[in-house]
Amino acid sequence: MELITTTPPAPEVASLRNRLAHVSGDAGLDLDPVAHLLLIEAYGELQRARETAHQWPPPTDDETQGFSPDQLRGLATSIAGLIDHEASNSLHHLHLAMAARRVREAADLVAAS
Amino acid sequence: MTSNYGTEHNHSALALARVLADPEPPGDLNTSLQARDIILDQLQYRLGHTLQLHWAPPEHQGHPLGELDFQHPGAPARLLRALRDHPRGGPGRAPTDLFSDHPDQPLVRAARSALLATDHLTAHPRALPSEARWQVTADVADTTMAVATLDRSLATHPDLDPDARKSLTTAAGPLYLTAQVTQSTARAGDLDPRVDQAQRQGRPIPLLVTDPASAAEAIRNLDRLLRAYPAINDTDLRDVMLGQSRINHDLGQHAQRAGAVGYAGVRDAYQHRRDLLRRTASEMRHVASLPSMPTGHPAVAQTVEIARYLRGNIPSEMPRQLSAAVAQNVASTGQALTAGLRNRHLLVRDRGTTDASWRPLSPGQEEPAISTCARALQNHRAKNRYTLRDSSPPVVPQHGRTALADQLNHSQPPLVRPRAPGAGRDQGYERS
Repeated sequence: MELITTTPPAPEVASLRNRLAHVSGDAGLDLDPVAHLLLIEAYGELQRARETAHQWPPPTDDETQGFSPDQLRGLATSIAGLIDHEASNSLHHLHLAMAARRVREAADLVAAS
Repeated sequence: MTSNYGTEHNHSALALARVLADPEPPGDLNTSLQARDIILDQLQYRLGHTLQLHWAPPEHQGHPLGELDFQHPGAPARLLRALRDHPRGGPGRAPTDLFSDHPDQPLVRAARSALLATDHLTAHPRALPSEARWQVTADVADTTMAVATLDRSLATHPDLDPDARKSLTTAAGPLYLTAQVTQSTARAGDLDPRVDQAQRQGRPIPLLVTDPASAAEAIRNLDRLLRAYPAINDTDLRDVMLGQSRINHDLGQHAQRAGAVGYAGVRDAYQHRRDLLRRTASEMRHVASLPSMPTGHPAVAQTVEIARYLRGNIPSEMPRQLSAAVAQNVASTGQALTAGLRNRHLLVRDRGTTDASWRPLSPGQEEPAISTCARALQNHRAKNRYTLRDSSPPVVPQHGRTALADQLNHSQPPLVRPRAPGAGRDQGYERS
């Protein structure tokens, strides 16, 4: 069988990506529509920041939560935190920041709805 | 560290990223607006410089930037027009005054570095290597997306007057979408002038959605985008599915609320498609694309644009009118998934595995669930026909069908609508 094996990202980064994948995923249909679209866009921004989708391991159970405004704001803060610890160039910086901003906007919408 | 284009652009981008990532709004409004105006101007100059050097007709090369031919085809020129026409609103102070008065504000630092980056880039007008022009274009597009995101934040500032707020809010979406298309074009290495020519000759781009007619056209355009750009990575495909799931969910909910006789079949069709898309999007966690696949497929931007408009903008006849076109979108998404698996752009992982090992789908191997989902998306219309045949005859006024036909036959202009020369830029914020 032909296999392509790659080095997975740091666990913290993988966890954040998987949490964002969850909140932007099919479960997000229960959210305010615009909040859901913001999270979909945020997931796209995170992916633009790290264009190595093939490396990601599948999510674990503790990563599939987080729809309250506070949980979403925590997710935004964690994504923004990657700017200092993970990003290596301006492309990463900008797209991580845009992802964080969108998650924060989604949190505000969820709080208001 | 030596100051050059690359370092100054990185400094500017990092400072801008810090502003966006900060949960607190930027400080003084006038300072923020002026710094943001300077960044927009620099992006426009840089892209104009690159366009003029490499794409402008020979008779225009070497002319001042202000004389650039804005009619040049292709995504970068569309972005240049969008940057030129995007509203500015800061006070007319000299940049040096801003830099000396607020040297420590991140947005001011971003503006200062942006100005220096432009200065470095334009200092040697013939020195830009051919491949670097696309890097500059991508840099401009990335930063423009960030500025459009910043505009949405600035629009909530309590000190902003209502006209300026409306202008910023209205203009941010189109600017972001235009930059997104340019960014994905640039990152895909899709920048051969021959491709620009192909775009001018009919390669589709995402359309702005502003009314029911443009929503109908955008749904048809989504199908064209999926066919015109067949290479789509796993994340973008998933996002297209989720966006379509949202569209089917909202239209189905509306059909249900309408409660009219004959709507049960329409509602069921939307809900069936929504559930199929949800299941498939969930299965996409077992799919990955080759590292070489570009991100930012234009179908994602189009899907989100449609879904965003439909929120709260669904006329009562719309669910029935759009059902066939939405069904075609779903089938095309299934075809894109099948094609990706077949041509090995998309890889699969067995369920239950926790490592990062992926394999292409080979003939004769046990079929993973994702293949079944892809086939279900492609063939779902057979189920819809059955459902619709069983439902009561729809009650749709003749004028509604006529309006739909008009909408579907009406061709929408592209996203970027050229304005009169000088509009917007020189007039400050647009008035509603």
